Amino acid sequence: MAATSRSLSHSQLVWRRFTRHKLAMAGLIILALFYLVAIFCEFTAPLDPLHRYSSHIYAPPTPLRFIDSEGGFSLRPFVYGIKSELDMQTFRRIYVPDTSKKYPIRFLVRGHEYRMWGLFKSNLHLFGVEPGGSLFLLGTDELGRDVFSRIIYGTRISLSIGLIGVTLSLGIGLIVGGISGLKAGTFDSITQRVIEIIRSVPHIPLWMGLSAALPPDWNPIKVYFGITVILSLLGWTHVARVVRSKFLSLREEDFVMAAYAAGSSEWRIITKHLIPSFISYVIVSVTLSIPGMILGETALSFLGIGLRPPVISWGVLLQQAQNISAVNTFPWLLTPAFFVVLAVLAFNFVGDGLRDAADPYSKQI
Amino acid sequence: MGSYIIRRLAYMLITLLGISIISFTIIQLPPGDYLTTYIAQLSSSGTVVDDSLVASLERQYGLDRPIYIQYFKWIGGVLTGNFGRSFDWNEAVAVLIAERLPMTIVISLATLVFTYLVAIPISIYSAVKQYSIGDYIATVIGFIGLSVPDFLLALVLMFSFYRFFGISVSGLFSPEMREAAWSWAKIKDMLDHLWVPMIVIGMAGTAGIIRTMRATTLDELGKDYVKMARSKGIPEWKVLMRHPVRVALNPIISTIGWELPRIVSGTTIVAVVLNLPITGPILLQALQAQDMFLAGSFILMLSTLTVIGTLISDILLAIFDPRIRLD
Amino acid sequence: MSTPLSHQQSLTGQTIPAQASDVVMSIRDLRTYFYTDYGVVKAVDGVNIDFQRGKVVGVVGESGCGKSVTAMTAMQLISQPPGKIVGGHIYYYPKDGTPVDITRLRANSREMRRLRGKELAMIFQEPMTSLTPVYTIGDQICEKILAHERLSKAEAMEMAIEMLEKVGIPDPARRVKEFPHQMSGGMRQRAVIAIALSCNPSFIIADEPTTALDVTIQAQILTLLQDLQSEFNSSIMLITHDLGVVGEMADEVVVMYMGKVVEHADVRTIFHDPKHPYTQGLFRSIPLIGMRGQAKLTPITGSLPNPYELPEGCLFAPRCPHAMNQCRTDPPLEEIDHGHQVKCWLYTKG
Repeated sequence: MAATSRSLSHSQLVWRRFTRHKLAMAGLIILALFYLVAIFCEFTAPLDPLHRYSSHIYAPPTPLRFIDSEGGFSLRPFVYGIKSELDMQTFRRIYVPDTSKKYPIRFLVRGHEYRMWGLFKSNLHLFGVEPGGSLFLLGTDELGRDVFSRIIYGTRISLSIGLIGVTLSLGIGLIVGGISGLKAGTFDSITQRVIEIIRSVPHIPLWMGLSAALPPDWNPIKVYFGITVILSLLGWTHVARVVRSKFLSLREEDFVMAAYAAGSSEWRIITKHLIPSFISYVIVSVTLSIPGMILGETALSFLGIGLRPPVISWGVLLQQAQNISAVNTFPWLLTPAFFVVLAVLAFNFVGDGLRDAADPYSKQI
Repeated sequence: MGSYIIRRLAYMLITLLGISIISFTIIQLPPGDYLTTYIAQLSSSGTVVDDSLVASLERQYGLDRPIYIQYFKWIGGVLTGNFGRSFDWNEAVAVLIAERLPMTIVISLATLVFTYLVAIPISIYSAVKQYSIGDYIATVIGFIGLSVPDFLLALVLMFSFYRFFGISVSGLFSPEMREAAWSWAKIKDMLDHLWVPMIVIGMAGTAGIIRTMRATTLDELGKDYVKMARSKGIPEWKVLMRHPVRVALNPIISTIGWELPRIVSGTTIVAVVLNLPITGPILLQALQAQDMFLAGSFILMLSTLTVIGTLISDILLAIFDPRIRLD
Repeated sequence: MSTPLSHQQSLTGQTIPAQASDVVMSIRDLRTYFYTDYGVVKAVDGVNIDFQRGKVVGVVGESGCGKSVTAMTAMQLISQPPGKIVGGHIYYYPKDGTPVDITRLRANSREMRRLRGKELAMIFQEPMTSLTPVYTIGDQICEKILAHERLSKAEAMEMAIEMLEKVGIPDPARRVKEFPHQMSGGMRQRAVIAIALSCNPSFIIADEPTTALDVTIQAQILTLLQDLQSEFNSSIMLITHDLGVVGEMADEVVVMYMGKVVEHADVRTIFHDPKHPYTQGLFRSIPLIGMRGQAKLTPITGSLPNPYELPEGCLFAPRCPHAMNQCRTDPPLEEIDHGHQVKCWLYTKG
């Protein structure tokens, strides 16, 4: 045991300990799936998220069936067609299955046309039903748009905002924390005060104030980046603290002293010795701050002062769930919440697993 | 002790200065200044705006002066209780703040107390009975609590209560009490409604504190002084409560410093969902209407509250932890 | 060595061997194992030691040899799980009162707690961490006194001040109100000793009491321990890896290796005529004051075996210069001379 672990590099050791953490592995798999779906959302979404099925407003989720009305069983799930009727008592539109039309679910079907990443034209979809059938896995919204496909498109925006936001705050945090830790002195005490100020104020009201100030005539792309910048403006402090404290403590470490004594240049010491030795802490802190970013965007968009339609994000989708009577009648409007929670949970699991794995002394033996 | 408090006070003043600059920036951020918006509003309602009014308003807010002068005029007003006017409500901002802020404080404090009352016993249990079933349950609930954002929890709770019990959990008072004057009945009515926002806002914090305190208690449990205490021959529960748990409580007191901002944040957004008569909804409305003096003042006041709370927790910590007191 | 001649019933219905001569504690075939995810560690595996009243017994060995676990087992301070006393006895013979077998008591039983505070006491290695940071020294001494004596808080505090004075802390009435972080390492260790000695225990375990201290302070603490030992006539189990400390303090020496006692003799014999190859190796690897000039320092070859996969037979054989075929079976601990026990085939006619 001792002999084998000696031959493993630090990152291999971390990975080995990480893979033993079951929840973290589950989280990692969920995240991988989420990001795959997000990257190829045009392909993975069965329907056009912006198309209004005006005859299917507030249609409930289409049930997947294996047994048809005559009792026949098919291994391949299928859906019935949807007929809309008017309920003569409540005068509301209700949807009933049309058992005369059967649409099997197929993989790699042709559907609506799209441009993958705005570049490649295609109409191939991961799964779907043949034309004429309607597959609303999670129902439709007030304009008759497919909620499931919208959630899939929302994944791209919501999850990427977390990554970009974290990259930005990592950049700020590394630079500020690095200079603070290396140079100490006035710069350090000023940044320490700034960090303390940022950490001691409630973030949501501040985020609200800043994002409400984004000009209303900005196009969606600008708003997207504006929100990301706002989120990372308050989010960099944690990374900066980690980097600073690591730099401070590492400066005193023997191996850094040895490198100085051996005449290495400062830059070389930073890149060859300091950064590798705390990179794991930074990764952990970054992983654990992504959920905060995702939730920040969701909260702002939910309140109507973050991303705005026609941009699709989980928060934008949840805006429709603000109306409690609508949610009560059409509970599937609440389904995006499930995906938000799942993503955040997965990030927390992974971050936790990384933290345990990165700190070899956290557990005995 | 005295010098410690003075130092914390000085830090607080610097923080407050920073916060006031941030709030002023937010007020200034939207395109067009307050006056333009005000004049536009007046003319749209048919009032004739004469130049002398414009000029007097300009002077009042120092709009013709450089930005830092405007800041000093504004902060000078704030310090004397003049927060400016809300054109959306056509009311002094100070009046609106006085109306909404006390209930915000009540809800935040109630949540804070709830959070610690629930979290501390659970985390002690979890740490002392590490790897027991109860510990696993607490860990799982902790993870969920950390991952479910408060406004979604509010939404789901509201939906579930409405759907399954047919009751509305929104608001802070029953309809008949909403406009009533303060009385014991009204306070009781409020307490009946308070638990929903308390649980919703406190959930994430409770989960976070359980995790932190469980970890610190576990850390402390392994230290030599625990063996020392055991070697004195006092009962095990006394060993635990008097020694590792007591020591682990200190860092928990210092978590109030980051717990308060989180609670105030949570209060703001949950209040929108649950339609509570506190700052959240009115802040959102002000931001949407670009009623910036109102919005900026609320942000300033919420942050100030948080910072004062943090100062109190710092002083508490100094009282409880001799190591800090004498530094 | 002390074969029980007759037996007597204790209150708890255990059979306790009669006290041999003036033995205060008798550890018989003690086994304390730790059950970890990676396997079983036999930290203490068949240890036999008798402690005479009023004597200082030094227990030496490398870290991990089981000396601390033996002590912690005697105090019932092993954390269970992963630790477990799987066999053996620890008989304790109080000055007046019925003898008990400590291994048969529950760790938190009232009887064990009374023993642990009043009869047995422990001095820990790290004075910096063995005091609770949030209480004054006085409170920490009083906590123990109040648990065992019917005294008022004020009377207990009087006793605490008295104890601090005894351990040589100047101005005890003032220091009693100080917190641990206000004291130096040496002062803290004196405070730890004061806690241990309050309630006047007859058996004291000192686990590396001077290792964490500066050399000058070490000498002071050792002198203090010696003075107090003779004043209270208590027995001390002195755990250390420092043979110098043993030479200065101990009457008898027990050498442990991999959870077993390999040699037990009085201090003079151990220093001048060590028998077990491991003991000889220990003395050759450490410079001692007054060592004969020609002696050369030689480290013991090899390293400690993996505790999860112990070899068959004598555990020292893989590192032993005298290893022979017979060493594939474990030798017994046998008395080769009056009061001198060795666990090695070189001296045992097996």
